[in-house]
Amino acid sequence: MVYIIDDDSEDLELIKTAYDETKASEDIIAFEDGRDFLNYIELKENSKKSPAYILTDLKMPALDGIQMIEIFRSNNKYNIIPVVMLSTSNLNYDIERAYKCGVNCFLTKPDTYNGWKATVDKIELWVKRWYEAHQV
Amino acid sequence: MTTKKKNSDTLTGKSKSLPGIDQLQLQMLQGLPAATYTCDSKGRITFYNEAAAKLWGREPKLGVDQWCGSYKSYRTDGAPVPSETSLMSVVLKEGRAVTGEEIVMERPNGERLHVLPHPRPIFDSKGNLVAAINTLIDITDLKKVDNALRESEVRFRTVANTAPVLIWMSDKNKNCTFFNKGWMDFTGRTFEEEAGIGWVKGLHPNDLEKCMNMYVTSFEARKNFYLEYRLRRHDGEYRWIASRGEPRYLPDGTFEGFIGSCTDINDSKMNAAILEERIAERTKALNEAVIQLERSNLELAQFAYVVTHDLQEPLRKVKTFTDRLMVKTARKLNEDENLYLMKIKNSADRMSGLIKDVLNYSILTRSAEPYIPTDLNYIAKHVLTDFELLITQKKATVELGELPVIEAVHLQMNQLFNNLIGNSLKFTSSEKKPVIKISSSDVSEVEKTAYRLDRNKRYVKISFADNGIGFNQEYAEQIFEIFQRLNGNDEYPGTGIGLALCKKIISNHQGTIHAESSPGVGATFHVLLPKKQF
Repeated sequence: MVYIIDDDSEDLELIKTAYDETKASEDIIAFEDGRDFLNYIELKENSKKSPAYILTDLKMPALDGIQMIEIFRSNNKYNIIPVVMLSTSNLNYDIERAYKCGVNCFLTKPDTYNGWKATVDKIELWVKRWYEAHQV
Repeated sequence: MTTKKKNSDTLTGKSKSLPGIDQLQLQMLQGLPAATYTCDSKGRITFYNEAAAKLWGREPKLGVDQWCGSYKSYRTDGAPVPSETSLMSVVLKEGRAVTGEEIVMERPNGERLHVLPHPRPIFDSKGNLVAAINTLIDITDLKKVDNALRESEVRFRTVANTAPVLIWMSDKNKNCTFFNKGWMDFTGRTFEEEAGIGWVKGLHPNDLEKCMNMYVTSFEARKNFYLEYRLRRHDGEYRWIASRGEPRYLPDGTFEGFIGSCTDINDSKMNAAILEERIAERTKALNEAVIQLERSNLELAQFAYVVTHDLQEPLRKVKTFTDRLMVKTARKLNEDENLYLMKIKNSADRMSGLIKDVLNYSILTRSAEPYIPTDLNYIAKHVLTDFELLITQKKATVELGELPVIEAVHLQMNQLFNNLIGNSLKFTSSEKKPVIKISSSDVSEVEKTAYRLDRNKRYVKISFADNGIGFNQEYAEQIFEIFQRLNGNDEYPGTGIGLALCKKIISNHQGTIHAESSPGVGATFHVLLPKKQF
């Protein structure tokens, strides 16, 4: 299960298409607002079904990626869930504060379609390794 | 001794020829400390005592010298007195005593004495005027003291009245007894109005109490004082006055009152007040400007960050969808159409580079990153490794001299060397094999002054010299401004931010950069940086 949060519908479309074409994860749930995602997660808490990973944008209106992950990470239950942040930014400033708030992987958004597919491949591989490393 | 002998001879030999005076009286006269002599009715000197001889400085001939035994006599105004018109002749002529007429006697040695004569007639038992007796009181010393006093008083008044200050004097009862001309001119009042405590009327009502307290307290404690107060000037304006007072004493220590001086400090006091006010105003304005500047700098950095960030988003989309279009339609489009798509992609790439540079520039401030000892040799070698491919392609030679270790932000030094070496490798001349020389030296005192550097710091100079296309020296300052470009984009592509970024890095490090160049010969960039930051 992949939870994707991005206010940019075009990027969301690109990501979804890239996931489709690479036939990576089967389940993708997309949110255009971080608050929707947090509400959803809270309801899901009882179903004991944990997300596989979270893919989020940085710059979003109202609640940005950093603030959203801070709230998400405040619940120890999700400690194991890896968070990947995808942003247009490649600034040290943004990268540092992303890792500080609990992001596990920071990637810059690609600017070609092949770039997007490569990025999805990279993320899938990285998440696989993450769970291998954190296997209890 | 001779005088005494003679006198005693006279005394014994001529005692009977002194009518009206017996032997006993004669002896008494002889012993008197006051100069005394007698004349007969014809005015001839018949007797003089020792004190008289001493006073005159000579011994007149008895029975021969007339009227007076002195060598010469004058009136106090200096006119000579002929001996026949002397006071003795008046007494003998008129048969009455004459007193109080001061005369000046001259001794044979020229010495002059002030003398008060007291001539009196002598009558015999029948009432006939037979002789006259005169006592001479020497008042020379008294006159001298009197003159000295008079002179001292005149001198004081002259000094006081010509002094450009206000001078006053009071007696032991706190009453003012003297005001100089300066005072009278200032207040424009008469002495009668000011005398005693009249001067108090000129005090500013708000200063009256303070002033009187100080005056009375100091007076009673016999202590000097300093006080500033407002005094009304002749034109009605109250002026600030600085007043000093000192107790005055007679030589024997008797307290005599106070003497003091006052100066008009109104202008300087007002100037000081105005100056202080202005300084306060300017300081306030300056502080406001600093805050404003800090705020606008912060806003600018935020603005640049937001703008560049937000600009990058749509641009990335342009690139992504152009890319998709190219991939999906490449075979369907003709050569021209593909070229247009390529041009869109290139423009977007260039825009992207520009935005990244602006973003870099805007977030580059004297940041939280630490200033640590940085080996510039290491930095230079590292940057040269990055340029390895370009150096080989251009067949360039790089001569790297020994560089110092300085306190700096590591990343920023990396950026600096990257931009300057990159610059040299970019603006190469097609006619020459590129040669780049990087060297360092200490900065002299003269250079420190010339580039307005901190005199207390030690600086190093790092020079980047190339033999490229160079530029006209008149652009030597302009090239460090953001977006300033001297060459066309086709030949030498760039964003015009590289050198501006260098300048900002160097200014963050409290250093300076300048360039020397001439077209076709090459350019040299001199970077002056402090060895230590604090």
